Amino acid sequence: MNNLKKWPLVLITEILITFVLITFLIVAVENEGFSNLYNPQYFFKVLRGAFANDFFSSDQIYPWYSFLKAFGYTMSLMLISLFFSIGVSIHLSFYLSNIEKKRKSKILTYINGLIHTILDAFLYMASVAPEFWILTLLLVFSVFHKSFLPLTGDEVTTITFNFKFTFLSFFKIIFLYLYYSFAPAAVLSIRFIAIFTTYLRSGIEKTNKSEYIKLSKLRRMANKYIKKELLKGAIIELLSNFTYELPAFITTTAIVEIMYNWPGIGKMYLEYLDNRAILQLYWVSILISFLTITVNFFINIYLVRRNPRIEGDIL
Amino acid sequence: MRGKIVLIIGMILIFINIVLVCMSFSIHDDRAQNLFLSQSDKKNKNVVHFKANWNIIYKEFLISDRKSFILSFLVSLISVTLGLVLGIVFAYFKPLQTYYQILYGVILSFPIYMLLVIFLRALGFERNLKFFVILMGVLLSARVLNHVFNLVKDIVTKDFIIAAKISGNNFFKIAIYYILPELYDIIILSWGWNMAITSILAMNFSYLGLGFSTQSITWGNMLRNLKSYSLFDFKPFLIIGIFIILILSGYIMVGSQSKELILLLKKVKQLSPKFSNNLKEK
Repeated sequence: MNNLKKWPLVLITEILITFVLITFLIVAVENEGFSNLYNPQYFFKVLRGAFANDFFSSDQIYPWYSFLKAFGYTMSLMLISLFFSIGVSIHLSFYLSNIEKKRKSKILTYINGLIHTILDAFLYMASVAPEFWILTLLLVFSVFHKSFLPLTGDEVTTITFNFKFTFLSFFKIIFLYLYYSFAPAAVLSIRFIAIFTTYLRSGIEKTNKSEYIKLSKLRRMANKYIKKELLKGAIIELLSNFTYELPAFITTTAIVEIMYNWPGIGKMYLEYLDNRAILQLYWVSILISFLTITVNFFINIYLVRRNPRIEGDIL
Repeated sequence: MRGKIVLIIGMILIFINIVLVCMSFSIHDDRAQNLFLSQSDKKNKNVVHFKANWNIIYKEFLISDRKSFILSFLVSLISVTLGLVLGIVFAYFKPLQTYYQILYGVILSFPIYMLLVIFLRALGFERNLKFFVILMGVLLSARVLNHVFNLVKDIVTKDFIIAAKISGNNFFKIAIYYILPELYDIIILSWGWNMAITSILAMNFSYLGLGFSTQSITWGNMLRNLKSYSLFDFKPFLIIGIFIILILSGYIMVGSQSKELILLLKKVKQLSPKFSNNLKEK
């Protein structure tokens, strides 16, 4: 438990180091190169807190409202795809991990093996498929089939424009939101289904070899409870690997947003870049890094609570 | 058995990719050209058809394959060496182990992808290729660092390392001769993943027009051009995409079956002295 005292210290140092590093890089970009003589001046101005004014035009900047709005859209998209991909990958990993070995006829085992190899090939290919390619295929497919999907996510902002809270309108908004976010969420989740399935599968196979699972099988406990225990072990494996998948997840979300015109952080980031609004870009970068730090921090706390023996490894 | 098949398929795909890269060195034309040829209709000359120019598509595919291969090779070289060195040093020296979490947290939390976008848009890709390579290498080293640190921490407490320490070997000798051979499978795994991820990210950036100029030949630029003609002919967009996915999945296949590959290499190593002795006897 002594290590628990270090947690706030580690969190603060991480935040401070990233803050200084990002500030340094943004200053370098703003002045077009690291060798510029004005870098130190600008660096100290930024550190003093001169964020309210733009550096060149000295206009007041209030990026918070627009940023929070875009952040909400991005988070919703990420959460939808995360839930979808985790849900699918749990079922896939249980199917592919070969825990239950039942006696089947030769034809059935052959068919089962064939399905396994096809799924394996799909997972290998899905983990490297570029998002823009899948999105284009999906949209072209919808165009040839009576346009059952919207071509852009622009109109999602109009859903909440004239919102009056009633029972029906609430469900209508949820339905419309899911309808507009279906294409980007599906594209985002394809790669993460492949990645999560590999982690969950290895986690299930590891826990299946542990003695308490063997004992519970010998005691002939219900299959439902054994699966629950296997899932707990697999989720630990998934979360411990999820920490270094998170930056990639945020980036792919941003890329899909730009391609689908979804009004999230990715699109906002590009607009700021076009206007060379470096201070807004700076704040968005810092907030994204703080987001990753806090998510990793909570994942670490969960992992230590689940398995106190790894406390020394994590902190 | 299935693992071996996957490994063989992956190795074949990587071999094909290397052959394609070697073939691309014979092509010197490095400017983007029209991937589709316009043809007027025989009956009505005002109507124009577009036909895919497969010769140019093939040329551009090879050139962009070479570019992405070199870029991802450099990035994975930096990431693997950085992750290996940092992981071994931080796990070997016990006082440094407490600072590992801070280092790991900072590397992960640093929004390098976002900063890459700023760099590529603000300063241009051609001027800042080294920034792209270094930043990507630093970010992708987190995966290697995590694996290496956790493994080396266990290896350091084993008997053969303690024996090596007692017999007077210094840190560099122990790291190279005793620790490094235990990490071959992690090196192959992370190498494969990093190669694939870098190629995908570079492709995404060039598709969006971030950093890469529209005149340069890359997979992203090529697919964007093919997409714009997809109303006339959708086949090139589909086929080139499938080829790219196949080539990149070779890295993932070999990476995921790295343990099988090392077992195979060990078997070859065990067989080779016997083979040479037999030859001498003969």
